[in-house]
Amino acid sequence: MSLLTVDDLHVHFIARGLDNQLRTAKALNGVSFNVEKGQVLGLVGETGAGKSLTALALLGLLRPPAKVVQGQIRFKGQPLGLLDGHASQGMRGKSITLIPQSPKTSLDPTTRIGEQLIRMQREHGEASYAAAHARALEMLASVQIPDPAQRMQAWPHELSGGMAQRVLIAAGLINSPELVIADEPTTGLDLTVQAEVLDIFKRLVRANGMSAIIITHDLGIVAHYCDRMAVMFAGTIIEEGPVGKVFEEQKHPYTQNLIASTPKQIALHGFVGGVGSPPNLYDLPQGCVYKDRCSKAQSTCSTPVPLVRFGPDHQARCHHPDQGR
Amino acid sequence: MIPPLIELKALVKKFPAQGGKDVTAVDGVSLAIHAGESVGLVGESGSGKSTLGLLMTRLLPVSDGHIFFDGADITHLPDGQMRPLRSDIQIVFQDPWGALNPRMTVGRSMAEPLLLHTTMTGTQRQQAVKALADQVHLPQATLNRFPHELSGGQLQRVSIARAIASKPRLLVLDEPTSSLDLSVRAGILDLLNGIRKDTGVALLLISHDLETVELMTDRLVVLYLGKVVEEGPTQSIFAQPAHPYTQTLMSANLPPDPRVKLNRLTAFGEIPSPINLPTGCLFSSRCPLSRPECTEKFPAYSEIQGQDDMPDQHLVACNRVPDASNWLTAAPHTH
Repeated sequence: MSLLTVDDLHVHFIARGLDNQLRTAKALNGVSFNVEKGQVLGLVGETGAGKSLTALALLGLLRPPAKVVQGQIRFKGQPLGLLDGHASQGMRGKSITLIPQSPKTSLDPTTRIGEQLIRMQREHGEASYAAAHARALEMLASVQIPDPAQRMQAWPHELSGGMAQRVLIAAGLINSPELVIADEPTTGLDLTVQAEVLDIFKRLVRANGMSAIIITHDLGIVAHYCDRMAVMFAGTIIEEGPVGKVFEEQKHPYTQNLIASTPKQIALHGFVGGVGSPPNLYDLPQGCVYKDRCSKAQSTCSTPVPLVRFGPDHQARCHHPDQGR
Repeated sequence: MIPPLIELKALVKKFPAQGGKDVTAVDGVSLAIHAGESVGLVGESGSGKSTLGLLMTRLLPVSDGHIFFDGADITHLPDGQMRPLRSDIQIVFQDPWGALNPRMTVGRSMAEPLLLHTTMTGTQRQQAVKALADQVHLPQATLNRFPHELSGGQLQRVSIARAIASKPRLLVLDEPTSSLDLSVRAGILDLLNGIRKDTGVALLLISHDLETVELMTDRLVVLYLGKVVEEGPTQSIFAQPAHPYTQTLMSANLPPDPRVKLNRLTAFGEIPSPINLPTGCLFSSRCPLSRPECTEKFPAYSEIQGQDDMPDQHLVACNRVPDASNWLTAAPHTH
C-alpha cells in the first residue's frame, strides 16, 4: 500500500468576475499519483501548472473559492478530508508537514527561533517543554546551524536566507512526519547555499525513512535529489516515472520540450520552439490540454486522452507519446 | 589597435552605510568588452554584479576609477553629454513587471526610446514599433495592451525591444531570464542570440545561472564580494575553474541530467558581510586552501596556460596558482 495516493483530484475556483458573472477556473483536472514510503517525488511544471495547489490540497489547506469537485486523497489507506479537514485529524503539522517557499516570511517575526520550534511540538501535544527544548536544539544541530544553543535565542530577522531555510527544514521535520512537502525550498538562495540546504534536507529525509515531495521548476534539483518525477501541465500530470527513465526517454511532447529547453540541450541540438502561453484555465481546450502548443497535435487530440504505460512505473497522458527506443 | 567598446579601469563603488562606514560594492574592477563580444558576469548575491551593470550604463555615479567607451573617458560625463551615448548603451532588467510604466501601453513604451534618440515622425515611429514587435516575436495585438495584461515572457520581449530600439552597441542584461519559466526562458535566449547575430551588438550577461552563461557567452568574469577573482574564455573556465571560489561555485551547480555525477566542493561558512570584509584575498575566510599570506594582501593575477587557440587570457587571483596547489579535492558526497 502506498503511503499517499492522490486519485483523480479535480479542484475548481468558482468566483464572480468584474462583470458579475460566475466563472470557473479549472485549476486541477484529474491529478493522480502515489508516493511510496521512503521515496522522494519531484513535482515539476511551469507557473500556474497546479504544483503548489496540489500541496495545499494534501495539507488540507484549500479554502473557498477553491472547491474539490471530484477525487480523493488517501494517506496510509485512510481518506483525508480535503477542505480544511486535516486539523481535526491531527495530520497537518504532524504526519504531513510543509517546508514553505519563502524562508524570510514564513517564520513568525515576533517570536524567537527556539520558541517557535518548541511550540510546534507542544501544539501536537507530544512533548514536555524540556523535551521539546532538547529536541529543538538537536534539530538545529542536525541542519548544521552553527552554535545552535545561541541560535535558539535569535529572531528571524537576524538570520540569513540560507540559515532561515535551514530553520524551516528543522521545523518541517521536528515532529518526525511521514511525508514532508517542500515547496520550492531553495528559490532565491544562492547556488552554493542551495546545494548545502538540499544536501541537508535529503540526508535527514533518508536517515529517518521519511517520504518527500519536492515542488520545483528546476530540473537540476529533480535530477539530483528525487527518485521519481511527475510533470504537471495545466492541472494535469502529463508524465510520471523514475527520474533516470524520464530524463533518458521522455514520452510526452511537453516533457521533451522541457528538457530540450535546458541550456545544455540547446548547446547540443539548438533551440526548440514550442513556447506558448499556458492554457486559459477558464476555458480549457477539449481533450489534451497541451495540444495548442504541441508540434504533434492532430485532430484526435481533442478526444479524451489515454494514459499510456511504459513498463510498470512510467506513464504518460498523450495520444501520440514517443514510442522510441 | 582598435580600443575596446567599453573598458572599466579600477572601478570602485562605495555606498554609505550606518555608522559613517562605507560598503564597497565594487572594488577595483577592470574589464573590457570588445565590439560584438558576449561576456558573462557571474557571482552570488552581494558580489556586486548588478551594481557593476548600473555603473557601466552610467545609471549610478562612480566613486573611483574610469569608464572608457570607444576610447573616450565617460566616467563623469554630464547628463547632457551622456544622452547621445545612451542610445549606444542599453540595459534590460531582471524584473519585467517592474521595468515598464504600468500606465503606458506597451506600444507607447516601445516608442519612447525612438522619441528620445531619433528624429522620426509619429508615423515612422509607429512603423518602427511594429517592426520591433516583429523582431522580438511579439504579436502586434499586444502593442495596444497595458503591461498587466501581458505574461512575463512577453513583458521581457517588450523590455528587449525597448533596449534595442535605439540600435545600441552594448546591451547589458541583468538576469534577463531568471524570473521566467524554462521554455519561455529558452525563447528569450534564442531571441537574444538572434539579435546578436543580426546586429552585432555586444552583450554583458549578468546571471547566477551558470548553464545559461555557458550557453550564451564567449568570455566569463567571476566576481566575489566586488572583486574579479577569475576571468577568461567561458569554455576554459568551465573546463578548468582555477580559483577555489569558482571551483566551489561550479561544483554547486545542478545540471539537469541525472547521469552527471555531482562532485561537491564546500567552502567554510557563508559569504561574509560586505561591511566587515576579510583582509587580503576576500575568499580566504572560507577557503580550505588558505595560507597565512592570503590574508595579507589581495593576490596578484596569474595566468592559466590553456589551449593555444584561445585568444583571451585566463587570469586568476589566487596565491596558489603559481605552484599549482589551487585545486580543491571533493569531500565524499553521498545521497
